[in-house]
Amino acid sequence: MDQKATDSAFLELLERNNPRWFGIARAYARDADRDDLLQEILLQEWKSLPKFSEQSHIDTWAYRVALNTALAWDRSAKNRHRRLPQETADVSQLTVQQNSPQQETKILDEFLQSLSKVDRAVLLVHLDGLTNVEAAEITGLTEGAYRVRLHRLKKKFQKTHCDQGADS
Amino acid sequence: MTFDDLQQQWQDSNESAAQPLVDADVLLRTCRRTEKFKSKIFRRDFFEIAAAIFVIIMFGKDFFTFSSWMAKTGAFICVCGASFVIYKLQRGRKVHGESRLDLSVLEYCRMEIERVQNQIELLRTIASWYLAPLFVGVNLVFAGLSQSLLDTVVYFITVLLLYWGIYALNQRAVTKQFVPLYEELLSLQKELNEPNNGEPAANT
Repeated sequence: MDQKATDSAFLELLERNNPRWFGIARAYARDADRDDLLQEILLQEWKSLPKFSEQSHIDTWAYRVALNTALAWDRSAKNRHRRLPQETADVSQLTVQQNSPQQETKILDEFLQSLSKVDRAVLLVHLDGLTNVEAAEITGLTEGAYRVRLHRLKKKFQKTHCDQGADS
Repeated sequence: MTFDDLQQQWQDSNESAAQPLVDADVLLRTCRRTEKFKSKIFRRDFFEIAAAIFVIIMFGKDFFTFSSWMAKTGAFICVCGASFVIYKLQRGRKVHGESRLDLSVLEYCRMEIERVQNQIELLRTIASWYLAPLFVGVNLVFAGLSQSLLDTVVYFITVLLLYWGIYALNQRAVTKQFVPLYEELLSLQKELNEPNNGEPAANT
């Protein structure tokens, strides 16, 4: 892929996937660092694009790059001091009295931040509407393991946020 | 809000928040960072190799000009040591290469564990493949050229302290930087490999 083709493919990829990449940055970085992580994701997507071998759908491939970039960014020593404080938010205190979009966004963000990195990745893949096959391809889990984890997350969310309790 | 509402809520909020970000400014900043990243890698590789080549040229030349056999042996050891350093660094780079971000999280995690393990191994053994040959080499060169035993001893102690400092700094990096990273990656891998224990699965 020459430079011009890479640039054009990157812009197309960006246009289609920007909300997803923004979502990944939202899940793995604080408000103040979100732009930094988003830039890092864009940088890594741009750098990795010439290596795309068409073995999977380009959007799934790009999702893997974005997710791994976020995980690596979260691990880097430079960002260690400003990583998201896992399990610090008491999600059960965030009741859904008002169903305003802002309130729902806050609940969702707090819930994501209360999860481990793996669970966060599993929930992200689900929230972004990827299929079970794509989810397995992205995470490296089997489809069954992915669905079991998702079920656990559903139960956890329902336990802390929904009056009706967990279903099974 | 139920669990099933989350998906739509998430996608809507990201769609609206992400739209203004597709602008020239973000792209420009990204390109600048790309250039910065490329020049950083180039500088790192350049200085690493240039330093070793400098040692090879200087001590290689000295090997033919020194009259003392001790100094000649020292220069030869330095040349071999610097060549081995280049080989070792290049080999490590080739075998473990750059991070492959397009792998699945589990596979990426496994590869990162290998890379970090390799880094830890390189730094833990730095005394044998990097410091020791050069330490022996420069001390032999100095001893071969020096006329005074006192000067040789002072030089030996100075180099010993300097190399001990370099060694200690590297071991500190292993303990403070690489071991926590390695443990974190291991725990991530363990979490991904966690058994399901026959739990129910979500209907998606």
